[in-house]
Amino acid sequence: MMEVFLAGLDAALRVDTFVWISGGLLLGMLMGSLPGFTTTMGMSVLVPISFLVGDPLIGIPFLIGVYKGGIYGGSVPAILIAMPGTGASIATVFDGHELTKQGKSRKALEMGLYASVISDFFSDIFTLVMIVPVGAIVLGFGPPEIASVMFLSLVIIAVTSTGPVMKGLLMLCLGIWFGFIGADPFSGAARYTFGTNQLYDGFHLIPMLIGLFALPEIFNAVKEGDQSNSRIATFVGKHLEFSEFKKSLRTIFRSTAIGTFIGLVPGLGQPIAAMMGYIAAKNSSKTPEKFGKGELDGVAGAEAANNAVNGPTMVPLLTLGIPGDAVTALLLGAFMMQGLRPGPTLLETNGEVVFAILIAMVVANILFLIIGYLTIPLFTKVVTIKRSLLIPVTIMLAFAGTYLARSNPFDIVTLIGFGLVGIAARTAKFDVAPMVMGFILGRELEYSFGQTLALAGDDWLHFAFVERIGMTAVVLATPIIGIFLGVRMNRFRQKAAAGEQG
Amino acid sequence: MFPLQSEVRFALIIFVLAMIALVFSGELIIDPPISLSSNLLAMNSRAFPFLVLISTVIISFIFLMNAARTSGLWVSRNHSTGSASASKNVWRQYVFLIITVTCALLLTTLGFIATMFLLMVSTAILIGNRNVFQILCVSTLIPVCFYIVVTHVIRTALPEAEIVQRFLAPLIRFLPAF
Repeated sequence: MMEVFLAGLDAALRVDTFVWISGGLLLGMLMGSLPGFTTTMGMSVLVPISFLVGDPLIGIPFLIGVYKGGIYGGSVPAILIAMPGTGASIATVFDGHELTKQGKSRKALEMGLYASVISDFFSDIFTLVMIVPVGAIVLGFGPPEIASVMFLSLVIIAVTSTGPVMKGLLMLCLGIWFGFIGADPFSGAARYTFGTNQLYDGFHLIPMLIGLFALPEIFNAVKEGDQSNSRIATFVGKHLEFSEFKKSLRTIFRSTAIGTFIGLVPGLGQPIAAMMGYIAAKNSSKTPEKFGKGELDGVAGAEAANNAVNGPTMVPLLTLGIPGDAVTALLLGAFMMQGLRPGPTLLETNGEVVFAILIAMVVANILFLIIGYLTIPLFTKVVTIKRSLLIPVTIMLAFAGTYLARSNPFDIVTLIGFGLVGIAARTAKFDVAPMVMGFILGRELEYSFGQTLALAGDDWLHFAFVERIGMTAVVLATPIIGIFLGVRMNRFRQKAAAGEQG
Repeated sequence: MFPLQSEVRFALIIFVLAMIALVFSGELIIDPPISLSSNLLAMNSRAFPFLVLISTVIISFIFLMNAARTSGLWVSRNHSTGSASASKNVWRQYVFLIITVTCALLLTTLGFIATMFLLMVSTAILIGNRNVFQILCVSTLIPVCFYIVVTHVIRTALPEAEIVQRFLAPLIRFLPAF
């Protein structure tokens, strides 16, 4: 494994990789700092660029740059104009914007940057260390274990999605339904293809992702009109002092631990991590009454937690092929377009590429710090850019990206179709993330489940309770974990809503 | 009579579609001409869709029942009047949808640059940009630059009308080879 790691290190330390990561960071920060633009939307329109460049050691780190930059970029409008650029920055508004009102926006933005970089760095190191043991365990998994872990992941994703559990489960089923349209993986039977050859291969992931994530955002922007330049962003005050930063170090490390744990669990994601990081910072503070009135620790707690999620989400993605959230689903699409299939065998077959990507992620944090520090004044101006200039460019990228994925005009129809589904779901306040997970994991689940049945043969009781007791334990524990998480999530949402109002 | 709540409408559509898919699964799932014998296949090609569709029907039914019991299926009078004032911009969204679908259908016929020009101009106007010079500049230059980068630098084909290709050919010839 050491040889593979060193080969990965050698492959990662390339100038072009870091040039593309820097480009990705800049684009991510741009997307994140525009109110109304989300990281998911930005990444969905930029995924095609990652495979057009050809080399996975350029394309994937580029997207990781967009991811990191986007999550941090969201804090800029949150702090300056109290409009979180991404869901991950909602908790940053509480104290960040109060600091802006007090004329300390520079301090808040710098604290956000340092907290983001430190947490990202340590969670990436954790990812790099964890990937080998987890990969070794997963390598021993057969179809029954994979099927049971996928089942558990799907339930966790559904119950932890935004909104009521029933909505999450319904969207999950809808996603699995879209996933089985096409050829049956075992017999080749055509399922719900209506006799068309185009549907026989099933829906392609990239147009689906762009349609579900980009088109509803554009649709919403059309309704809202050009509003973003009506507010004035101010970037004033003194630099963050070292003593102030040192005081928040404990909070940063606590939030890093929270974010790292949340990143490992599929479905939770940055908004929950940020809120939990903020609540933990407030609860352990000697002066909790200062929170919400311009406390630097509040910014550090939220920003460190949301950025710490980025790295660990790669562990279930790379080892099991399970994307933790919408952004990692996009990364999965990018991996697949590059001919890399995340799953138990990825580390064995493409270990060098995996390590190179993870090492690039760690090194990218240094670029993140430099670029972030130098461009803070620039992105405070970006907050006021007119949406009427950017939305047309985004829709062009959505169309072009979809077409370029396979040069198949049918993909444009898929884009529009899923765009309409996304718009309808958004209007009805249904989260599309479980649907995407269902689409991706449903196919794998069916395949593993079919293989499990073949392995079990006629004596399935002996198979389930003697040969593969691990699989049975996971399947039996799934409803209990689902109910437990559902209840905890409900309580957490109520607490977070109360905190937001307070 | 007030319209159905948006979430109820969405769940109802899924419920009806899942029911249809379930009832007509015999016709909509077509086995290959030479099918493998059942002892070679561990799972019937209809089994997994059946499980998923039946789950969809049950969950959407529970959701609808729950909605009827708690918040009601229909939009209330107060909510209806409130949303009417808030949805005065909805027409823009419908126009946007029509334009997007039209452009999607025209992409291969009109070509990338012309279609994107139409799409970008109409989107900019719908969002509220009234600066004609700005709209024309962004909607012309960006698709042209993008087309040149994709076709000349990345060497990937984009659908384009022959007349535009001929017009751009001298410009592309001036660019260095990659």
